Amino acid sequence: MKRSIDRILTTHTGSLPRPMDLSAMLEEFDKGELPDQGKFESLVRESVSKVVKIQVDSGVDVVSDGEQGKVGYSTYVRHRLTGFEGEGSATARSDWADFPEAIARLPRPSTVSRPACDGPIDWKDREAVQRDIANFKAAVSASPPAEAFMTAASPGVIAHFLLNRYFPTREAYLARLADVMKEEYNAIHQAGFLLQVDCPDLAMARHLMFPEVSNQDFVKIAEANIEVLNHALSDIPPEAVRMHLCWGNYEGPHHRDIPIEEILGAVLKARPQAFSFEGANPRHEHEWEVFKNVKLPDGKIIIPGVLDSTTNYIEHPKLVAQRIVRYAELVGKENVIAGSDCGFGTFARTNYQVEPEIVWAKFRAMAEGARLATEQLWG
Amino acid sequence: MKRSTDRILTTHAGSLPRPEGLREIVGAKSAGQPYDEVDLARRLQSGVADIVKQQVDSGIDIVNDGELSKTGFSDYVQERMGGLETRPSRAYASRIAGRDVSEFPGYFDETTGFPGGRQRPTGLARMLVSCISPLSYTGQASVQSDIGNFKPALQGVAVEESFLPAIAPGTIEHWLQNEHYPDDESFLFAIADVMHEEYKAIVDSGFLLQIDDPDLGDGWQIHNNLNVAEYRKYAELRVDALNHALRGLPAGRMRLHVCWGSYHGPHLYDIPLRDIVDLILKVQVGGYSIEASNPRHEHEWRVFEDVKLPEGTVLIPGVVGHATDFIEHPELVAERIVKYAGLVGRENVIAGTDCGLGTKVGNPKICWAKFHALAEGAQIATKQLWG
Repeated sequence: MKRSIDRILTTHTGSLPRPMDLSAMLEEFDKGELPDQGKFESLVRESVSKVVKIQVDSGVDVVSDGEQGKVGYSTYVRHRLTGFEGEGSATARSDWADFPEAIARLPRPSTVSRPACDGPIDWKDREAVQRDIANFKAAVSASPPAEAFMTAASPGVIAHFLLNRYFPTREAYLARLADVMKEEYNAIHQAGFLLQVDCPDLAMARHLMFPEVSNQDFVKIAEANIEVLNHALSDIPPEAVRMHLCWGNYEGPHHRDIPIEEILGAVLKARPQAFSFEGANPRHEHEWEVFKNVKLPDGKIIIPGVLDSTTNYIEHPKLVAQRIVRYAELVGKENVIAGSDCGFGTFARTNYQVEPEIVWAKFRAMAEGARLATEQLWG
Repeated sequence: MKRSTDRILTTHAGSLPRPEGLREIVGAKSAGQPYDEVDLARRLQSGVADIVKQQVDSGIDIVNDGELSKTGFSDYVQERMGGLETRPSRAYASRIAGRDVSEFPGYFDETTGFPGGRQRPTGLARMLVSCISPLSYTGQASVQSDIGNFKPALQGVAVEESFLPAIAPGTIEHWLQNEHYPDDESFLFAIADVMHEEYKAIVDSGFLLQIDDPDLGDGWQIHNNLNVAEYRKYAELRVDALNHALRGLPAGRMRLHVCWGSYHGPHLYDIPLRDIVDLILKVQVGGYSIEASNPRHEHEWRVFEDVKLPEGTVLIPGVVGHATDFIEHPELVAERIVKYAGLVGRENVIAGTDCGLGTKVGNPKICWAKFHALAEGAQIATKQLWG
């Protein structure tokens, strides 16, 4: 993967806003009521092409397909795999639970369904990832970026969103997910794209899925997820993979988020060369300081969020530069790529957390901030 | 005014969450609709007492009355001024995002100029208010009632200090049309003379006076045709008018709050602090509260690398904000405080909020949790700064 050899590179987390008509169609698709498959596929192709061009035009160096054809970065797998027909359940947000009166005021939750696993898992649509790859290849050849990455759900995050009601143990469920998902990871790698595995389970699951366990016990869970992930990535060289961790992409209290300090040791054991994490929102911005005490292993790259993905405020480029420089001074400028806290289109939905036109303006602010940081760091 | 002599003090920018049911009654009174006077007086008395206690319990050192008696931080003076006429007006695009609106047509509602999604226009701009005859101050009873509600609320609670907010002449101009005075200057100075009465009443009561002056920041987006030099001239006249309104009052008993309009939105074209900081510091007060923690203004702490605070004054940077429901991490709060302390001196920094949290965060409890984070962050900073 490219690193910031002579300037600070920019990227983001992966998902990007989808056009309203596509979101509406994805919601229908998720309910199993898609009337016109052909129209849907051509709309996805067109959206990927547009969203790649807009990233390049907005100064993003390492671009994605915006996950335009997926209902969500994690639950999309149920459309590609067998075994997910069980009744699901949403997990509560333990931080919001401390503010019960406030819950009524939250924006409409995503309608994306989250069935449980109730049968053997296998591929039913191997072609889906190939369609993603073909769409993305066409788009990057029309608007060439510095580099291109494609996201896929980690076994751990699938297990987070789609509960196990079939395998005898959590370990068995994760192991099967890893064996199956390995095919998708390999396909993305073989297509020549960087692979990004999405692993919010390593942070977010602490307050959403395991609020009762101790931090120490949670780290053991995270370590087990990483072990499974490493197994699933074993065919791919570390320098072709990055991973993303986060605490849940929603504007809320987040006062129960586990500090990055607690999980960083585990995260550094993961195979991917680079990891992206939240660094911009007010619950995690101060955590750049952990790199005063934690030495980044040789070769690793960090992708801290310098844009908050939950606010329509546009970060000032000088703030972006201040954030980048703080990390660069601690871990080395060539080991930092500027990123976003999380995605800007986590789930297909018909209302936006951040308005598309503001997302692009944020990207331009990030690119400008990276230029300012580059001036300071390379002089 | 107390300063952070041996520890970092905490305060906030003004408006706080209203108790259940109060806003409706205050609104009815303001609109001239029937309401129960005795009931309102009782609710205000207990509401102010509760909100003072809530601030103290949340670790705030310099508290206020939460602006509970007011419809809003600015338009409340419509009830306290003579010489006005109110007529229904058609909705118009809010001007405080005047430079951002045209760039983000998908984000802003075309009619109101406010963000289309979760935010709705507040009381601003539903009526057209005009000045049609000489202005006068008619709010003595109202301001004395505010003072009367606040004083007993402070009995038996431990606070470092207490303040009451009042609005600046330049912000009154946001919603008040001049149809009487010959020019802007005479109009502004007439508003200043009127507001002097309210400012004096607050200072005389022994409370600190906080002047709310968002127009120094957000006037730039409202007057979207001006360049920086022209805008500075515009703003300077507003500063002169404010200083006229503050004449004869002790600077050390007053502080100024400046922000860029507390709406959630891009703020792409906000005027940089750098371009107006000298004008802000010309206001004859003892403390300056400035928005400093949201992503459009957080970087501006560096302005104080080469701008000196006037002798004897304190800086009150926002270290927690109204812009998000995330609760700032106390370590982040401490980091922000220490950055300012390193530049202007620890004794010259009081930790504050970007703007009033009252109506801008998702829930009252989020506001109190942010105050807790503010207080804890101030403690951490104190340890670092005093050892």
